[in-house]
Amino acid sequence: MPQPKKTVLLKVIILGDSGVGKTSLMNQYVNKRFSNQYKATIGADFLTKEVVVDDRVVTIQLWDTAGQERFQSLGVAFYRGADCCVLVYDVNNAKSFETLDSWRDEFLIQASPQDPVNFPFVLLGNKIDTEDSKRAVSQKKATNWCQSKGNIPYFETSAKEAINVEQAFQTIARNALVQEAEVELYANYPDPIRIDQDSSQSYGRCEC
Amino acid sequence: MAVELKLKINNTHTNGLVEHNQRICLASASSILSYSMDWTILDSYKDTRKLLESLEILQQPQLMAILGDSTLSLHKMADLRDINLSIKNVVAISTLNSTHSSLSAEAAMQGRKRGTSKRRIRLRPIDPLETPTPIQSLLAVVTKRKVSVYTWTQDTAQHTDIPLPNTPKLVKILNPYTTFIAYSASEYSLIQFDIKSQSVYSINDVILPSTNKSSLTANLTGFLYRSKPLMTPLDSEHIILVDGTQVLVIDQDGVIAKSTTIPASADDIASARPFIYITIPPYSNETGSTHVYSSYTLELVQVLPVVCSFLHKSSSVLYVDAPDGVSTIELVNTKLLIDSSVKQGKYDEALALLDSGSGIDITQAEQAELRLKILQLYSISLVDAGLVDDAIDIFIELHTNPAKVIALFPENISGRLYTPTHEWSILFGDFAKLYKHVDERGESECEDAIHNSASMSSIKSDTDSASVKSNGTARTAKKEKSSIEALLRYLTDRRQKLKGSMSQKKHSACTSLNVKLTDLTKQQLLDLPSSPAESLNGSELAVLAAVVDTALFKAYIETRPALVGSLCRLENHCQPEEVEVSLLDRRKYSELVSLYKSKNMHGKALDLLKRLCLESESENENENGNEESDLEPCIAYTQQLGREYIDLILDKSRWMFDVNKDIAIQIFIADDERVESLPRLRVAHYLHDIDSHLSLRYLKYATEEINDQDPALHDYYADALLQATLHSRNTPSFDSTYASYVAFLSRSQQYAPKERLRGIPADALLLARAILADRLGRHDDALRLYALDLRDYDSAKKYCNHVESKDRSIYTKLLKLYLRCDERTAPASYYKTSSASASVSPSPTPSRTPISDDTSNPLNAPNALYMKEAVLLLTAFPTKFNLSEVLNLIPSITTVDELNVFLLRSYKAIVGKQRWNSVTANIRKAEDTRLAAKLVDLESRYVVVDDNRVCPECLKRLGNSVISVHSPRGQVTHLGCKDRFSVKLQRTQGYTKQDTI
Ligand SMILES: Nc1nc2c(ncn2[C@@H]2O[C@H](COP(=O)(O)OP(=O)(O)O)[C@@H](O)[C@H]2O)c(=O)[nH]1
Ligand SMILES: [Mg+2]
Repeated sequence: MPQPKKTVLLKVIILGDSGVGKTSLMNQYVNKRFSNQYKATIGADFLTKEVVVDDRVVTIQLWDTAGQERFQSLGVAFYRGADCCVLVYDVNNAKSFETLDSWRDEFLIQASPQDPVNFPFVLLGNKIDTEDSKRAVSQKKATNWCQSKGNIPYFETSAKEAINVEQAFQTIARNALVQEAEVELYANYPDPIRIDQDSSQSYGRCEC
Repeated sequence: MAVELKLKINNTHTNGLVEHNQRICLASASSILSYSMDWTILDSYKDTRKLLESLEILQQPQLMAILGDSTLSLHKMADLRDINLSIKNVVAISTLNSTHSSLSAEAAMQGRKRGTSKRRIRLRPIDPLETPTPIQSLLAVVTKRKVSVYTWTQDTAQHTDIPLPNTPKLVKILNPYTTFIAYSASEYSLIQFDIKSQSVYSINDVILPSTNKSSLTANLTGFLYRSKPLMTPLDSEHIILVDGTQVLVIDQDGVIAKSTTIPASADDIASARPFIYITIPPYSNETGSTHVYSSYTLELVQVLPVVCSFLHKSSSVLYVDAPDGVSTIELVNTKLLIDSSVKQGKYDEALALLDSGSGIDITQAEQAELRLKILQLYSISLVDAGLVDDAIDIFIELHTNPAKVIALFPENISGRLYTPTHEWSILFGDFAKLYKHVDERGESECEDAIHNSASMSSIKSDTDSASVKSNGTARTAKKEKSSIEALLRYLTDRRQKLKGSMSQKKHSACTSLNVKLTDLTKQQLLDLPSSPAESLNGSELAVLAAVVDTALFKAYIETRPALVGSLCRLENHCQPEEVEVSLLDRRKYSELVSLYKSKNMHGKALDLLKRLCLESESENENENGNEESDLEPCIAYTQQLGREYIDLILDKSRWMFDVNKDIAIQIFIADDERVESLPRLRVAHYLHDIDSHLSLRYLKYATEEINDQDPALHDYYADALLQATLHSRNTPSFDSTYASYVAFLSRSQQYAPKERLRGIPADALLLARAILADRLGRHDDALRLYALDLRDYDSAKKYCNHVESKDRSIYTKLLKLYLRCDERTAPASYYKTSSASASVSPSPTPSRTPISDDTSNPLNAPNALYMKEAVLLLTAFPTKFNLSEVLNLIPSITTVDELNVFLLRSYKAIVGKQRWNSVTANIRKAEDTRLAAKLVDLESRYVVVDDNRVCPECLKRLGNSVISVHSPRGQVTHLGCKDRFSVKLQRTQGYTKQDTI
């Protein structure tokens, strides 16, 4: 029984300490805008964007979160069904790098994906536009971390200068799409209901 | 009997009726009549159209949609004469007033996306006291080859036109994101909108069973049952449509969820929970009738012997147009119906009946209680039937005690909470005894369900009946898996809620760590309150958190072993006793270490790490003789413990030193705050017991690299170095050890020199003694040690230079030492000291060989060597000495030649010094004069007369009297005293002037 054709919707969740630039990255990617003002994200919200990934048009739904609350205000329903999780830290803030582990673990638990080992994460080191002397986390350290977590793709970005933002989200979309395809395989579709008692007919091809 | 037809207005017929705001509006020909709820007429409005067919309310914009003569008009509800919009050639309309929030939209979307949309249970009737969610109103209008969707939200109104290949006959909005259209009785399509933007949509055909039949049959059926398309929303995610004699329940993705057959093609359809009403016109020999079906089981409930057309569904009744006039269909004997539904295990139906609110004569409180009981039964039955996901929704909604929920799951997850199915009813109290496990409900019922595929039991859904026939085991496994999935959703949700509540109450880790579930009986756990996390007290929260996390852990072990690590690493409330065994069994050691770590059970963690390390060592040995074992994890773990755990660290790290000292030392020497925070003296003592070299290495690190300034540590280090030095005497390592001792003594300012000096055995380690003597301020002793005992003349000179600022006579003292070796200096000459080696490396007295030559005549004259040094000293620093003193000291036998340079330089220095003195004296004098002149100048210009100033002549206060100022010194006198004072002044002036010039 053919399923009605579905529009591909990719759910992407962005996590990281507050102030690392999650909202800014999303805004830069979706609206091509950046603001120096800091406005704490309240609760969670999402932006959508249509992108072409490998000749397919997909809609990515980017869920921004308020870092400080550490998931507590948001239901698990929120994280379930995510296709990709983007972890963001601020390269000038060592603390925001150290908390990555617990963001990742917390996400995995809340989302409990089918195949946690291969669940796509992407790491973004944001705010690379600032002067070198301020940098607190080296690229080496970040890539080492990514390697230890099963080769997570890593991008150094600047929401302010729009550096690498497009590339990063392209990768995010691609990885999410792969994940989505896998989930579809996993999903336990309810078996089609047989309307007719005679099964040969309900599944039958045209016999002529 | 379940429902009853009640005539309201005799002989009045209509096509359109709505109830809104305690009013009923009814379309009658070209008028709209407005009634109160007891059917007294209030108002009427006359329209220009001939026949009004359908009325709908749009709540958000407060508009009434009126369709008549193919024209749709939107009227202000406050005044129907005020028309907002008018559209011609309208075929059909549909409206929806929805309270879908964005999150439930998300949920709906998720369901759509995953293709797992399922029955959703309306748990609670909308509570009017709850903060009103903003209503969104939608209107769909079908015109020629187009459907237009208008949307009103709180602050926007928008509209999308969707062009279509044909003109549909019927449109129904299911929810804000899904609209169904029908072209004919067998051609239905659905339009799905994007959540964020209505202009993004997709249209798909609904695949009906009749579509699969050959086209001929389809046509034939179409011909035989030719009738209009019929559909009506069942709930926010399902729509009912009629395809010939099939009634299908379709979900929002167009997938068929349930179906049944009706005896003949239908005329009209309506849904008002818990029933679906279908009008069947006369056929063959039958008279027309209205069939009432359960909307849950699609079972036929009742047949009303009249043909009705359905007008409007209000919260409690269904308005119909019956042969006798406008009537309502109302529920009767609801309580009986509920009871019978409950008995039959049709809990969802019972709930819907209860929620319909009509025909029950029990109080609100009783209703709420009954609701709760039915819901609990319902939830158990859902779990029993494997529809755990749905059950979980109820558990979450009811805030059911998680212990009870977990108890429903297999023992590998629920542990000692496990409760076999036949005891479930006990879990949920007396009422739950009503619940019977499926097996007990009797085979016959199940059999029936299988044989009669059209009528399906509420719980044992289609898939189950099929499963009995097909491969049952695979299904069971699948079912079990999906039920654990649902449990995961539940547990992670609970975990989050409990955590949130705990952190709000600041009942953080400390209290929860003390929770031991084993202290509580199973019953105590099951008796915990079923209430929202916010209203639980600290200890209840802690216990429940432990229950939930432990179950989550076990569920992960079963289904997502990879997530066990994540759970263990994060702050968690798992009961270590319960989970460690299973981690050990599965050899998930790193997870176990993480768990211990998160629980601050570092001792156990370290023991485990030790075991692993030693095991791998022995394995390696067996395999390739490589004895290197990886201490790394143990060390890393120990490093992050910090000061607080010093006892543990010292206790548990001993073995690592036995394995590899050089690596193990990293426990204490690492670039890490926590490592640096360890109490250093204790560490030093500890290391000393293992190996004094380690201790020294550590102390060097502590004092040099991390710059420890603790005097006790420095004392300890100095003594340790001393011991090491003494121990290494006569060994090749002596030199370097002694060098570092000396270096430390010179560098550090923190140790207590007196005690250190006392610790050095007499006559040994002279250089060290010299440094210590200097520290004690005993410069003479230090100097003697350098000059005579060590015969390190260079150092002696440097020492003079170093001390000069404190003791100006130090050079002379050195000279005296050289020239007059009194008895006190003698001992040094017992030891042979080559001056060369003394200057290169501090070499104390390895051998005590007397120097025979020198001792022969120590008292009378300085030996030649000293004399030479004395002369060198004088030559090098001629200005540091008093010439006459030197001349007195010098032994008479000294030749002038030897002293030539000294004398010359000394003389030059003296002369130079004198010259310099006279120059400075004169400069000072000139400056004095300049200042005196300036003073005179100033004093002649300004005088200050204050209360205390007295006249120098009469010695009385000047006060306010007239004064006279005398130059050049500016003395002030009374005017009357002026002359006398001038005379006196004149007398002294001669001298003064002379003096100043
Ligand atoms: N220099 C610089 N500042 C940034 C960048 N991205 C964000 N910010 C600033 O960092 C602050 C926090 O950004 P925001 O996006 O709100 O962080 P969030 O809390 O993670 O959502 C804001 O003041 C931004 O202007 C960046 O790439 N470079
Ligand atoms: Mg933000």
